[in-house]
Amino acid sequence: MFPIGLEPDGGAQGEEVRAQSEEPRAKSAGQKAFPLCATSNTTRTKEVRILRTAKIIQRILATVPIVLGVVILVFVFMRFIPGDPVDLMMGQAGNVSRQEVADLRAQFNLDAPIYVQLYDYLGKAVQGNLGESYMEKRPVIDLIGQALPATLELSLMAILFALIVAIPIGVYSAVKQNSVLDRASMGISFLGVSMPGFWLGILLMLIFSVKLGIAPTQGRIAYGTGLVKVTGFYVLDSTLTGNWVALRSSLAHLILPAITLGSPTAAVVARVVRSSMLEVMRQDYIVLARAKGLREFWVVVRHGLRNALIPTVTVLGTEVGALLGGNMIVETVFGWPGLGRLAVTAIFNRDYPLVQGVVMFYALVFVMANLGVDILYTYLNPKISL
Amino acid sequence: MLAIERLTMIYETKRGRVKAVNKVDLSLGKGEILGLVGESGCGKSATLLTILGLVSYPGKVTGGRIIFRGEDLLQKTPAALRKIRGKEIAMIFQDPMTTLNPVFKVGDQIRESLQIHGLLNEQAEGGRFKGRKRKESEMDRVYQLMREVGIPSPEKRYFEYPFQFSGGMQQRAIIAIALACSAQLLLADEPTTALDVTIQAQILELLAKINRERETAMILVTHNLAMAAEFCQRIAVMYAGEIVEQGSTDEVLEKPQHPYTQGLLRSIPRIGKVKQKLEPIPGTVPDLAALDGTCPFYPRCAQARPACLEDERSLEDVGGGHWVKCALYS
Repeated sequence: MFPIGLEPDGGAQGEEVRAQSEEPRAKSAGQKAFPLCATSNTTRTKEVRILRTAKIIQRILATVPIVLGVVILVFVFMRFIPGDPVDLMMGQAGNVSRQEVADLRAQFNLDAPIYVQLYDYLGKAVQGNLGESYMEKRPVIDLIGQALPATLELSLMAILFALIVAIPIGVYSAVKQNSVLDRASMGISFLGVSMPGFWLGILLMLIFSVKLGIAPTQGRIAYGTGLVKVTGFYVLDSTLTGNWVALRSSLAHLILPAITLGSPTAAVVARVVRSSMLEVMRQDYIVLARAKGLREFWVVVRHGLRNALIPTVTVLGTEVGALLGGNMIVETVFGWPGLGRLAVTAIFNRDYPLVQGVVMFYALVFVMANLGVDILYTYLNPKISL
Repeated sequence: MLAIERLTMIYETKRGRVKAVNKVDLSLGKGEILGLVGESGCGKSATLLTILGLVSYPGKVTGGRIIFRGEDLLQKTPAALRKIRGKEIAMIFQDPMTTLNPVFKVGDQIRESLQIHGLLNEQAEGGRFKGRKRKESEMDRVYQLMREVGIPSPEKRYFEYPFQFSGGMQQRAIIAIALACSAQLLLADEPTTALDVTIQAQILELLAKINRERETAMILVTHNLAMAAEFCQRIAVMYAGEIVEQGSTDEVLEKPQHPYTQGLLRSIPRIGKVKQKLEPIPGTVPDLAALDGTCPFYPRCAQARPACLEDERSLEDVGGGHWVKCALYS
């Protein structure tokens, strides 16, 4: 009709919509090995599940060399620190002969060359024997078994606190950018990032324990609550056994250390959520969601936050490391009988087997947490597979 | 069906008020296709967003009326407007690659449209179906939509994510979203710009089919005059936030009255006319923050005269429903 442009006109191209001529875009590497189109839907999901399980097992196996590396490094470095456990014990004992010192060294196998010690240690560790603590005279694995639930309980609570506080603040700050609340919360989060854990812990203790008297300062639970230990997680145990007195007491003991430990993470997460929400809310699919007639609340939460969580989870993975480091300080401040405090005392006492065992578990927790993050990631971002 | 009167939308910026949409008058009948053409940044997309009430800070509607089926959309509460959005007026976007939410299955995104407007339960026959059967009947409706827009094997592609779709297929899915609630008015914001030429033709044919079968009225925003010529019954030419010329496609393209429209047509190659030199329009689009009420095309216009600097110009009928906003005709 109007031969104006060079482009072919839409109407003259025939009645048939030639949809089949379009090829689906190249699949990501994860799917390439696994053609989505070939199978029907149910078998496909089943096979995806099997594939996923296989990949997860593969990843778990891949942690073995990492943990082994960590153990060897710690083993060697601990022995580089001046003063061995025998020196420390003898220093306390006072008058001892050279012969006695040498005997003691031989008893702990500390006079052997370092590679022989390492070989012996690894040989036993593979069989599940992590040795005996020099100071406590108890198997390392028992000590860790006692402390690990305490640390996990505290860490999980800290993460929970961080997420519950940080995500709404981050989202709100982004949606109401430059509002008073946005500026205030970002200011506070700056404080949260830079405030050292021991200082915040002592400050909270001063306010809530000393002045207000509403939370205890030390330990995991009050005496005489009659808690029956099942899993070692006191909050869980008291709930399982229906012991509400114990639940109250354990939660009261948990709250201040969890806030102390979780605050830096909360601050980081709030900032990440805010900045990624700002980015996400500018996207075209947000406009589409609004154009569909969706309520603004769901536009923000379903379409916005769901996408903003992807970078947030990445940051959370790296925060696990910071959390484990923070554990040592917070557990020491609050007298929390966990892995962190165990590690600190063990290092001061040159309790080689205990340090090695604790650090090995730290490495395990860290690696597992990151694996968890990676798995979570595949659920959040469909473009990524393990 | 749709009548826009003196609609003005501004952006408050540090440099002053930018009039993105300036006293725009448009009207659209049932089943009609109107082409909105003009250069980038002349306010075409902003006009569409204003109609849907999706202008957000720092944008602000400062005047005019948008009468849709007898009611002024600008007077409606946000909740009432939400009921119209997606259900009675739907929009198709420029870049399909970024318009679908990357983390949700394509089928679920189409399904969401039905869900928002409560059409899913209705489809499930008043909730007579429960559980699995209900879910199936809901999905059937989505499959049907996907088939209608030419997405092959919807039973499979329902469960795929946007990144597994080609650009053309993504645009089809977006059209399915727009069709889900049988909107009477479709706002298409350069729906083919991001696609390659053969796919463009397919998408346009699909839109034409929808217009034919459902009598859906459309506003097609484009800067491709050839596409507007082929596809639209009427054309409105926008320049710097204003409608400068409006009329039937034949009238506007064969007898362009406004110097800007004339310039546009001279700057496009025509098949058949050999060795014709293309004439670009001299100068550039004016700074929208610095408009002073005089004709925005004045600095670039070959036929400029003192009358152009008078403050008020209005759309004048030059005969046969052909309107021009230019001092030459007032």
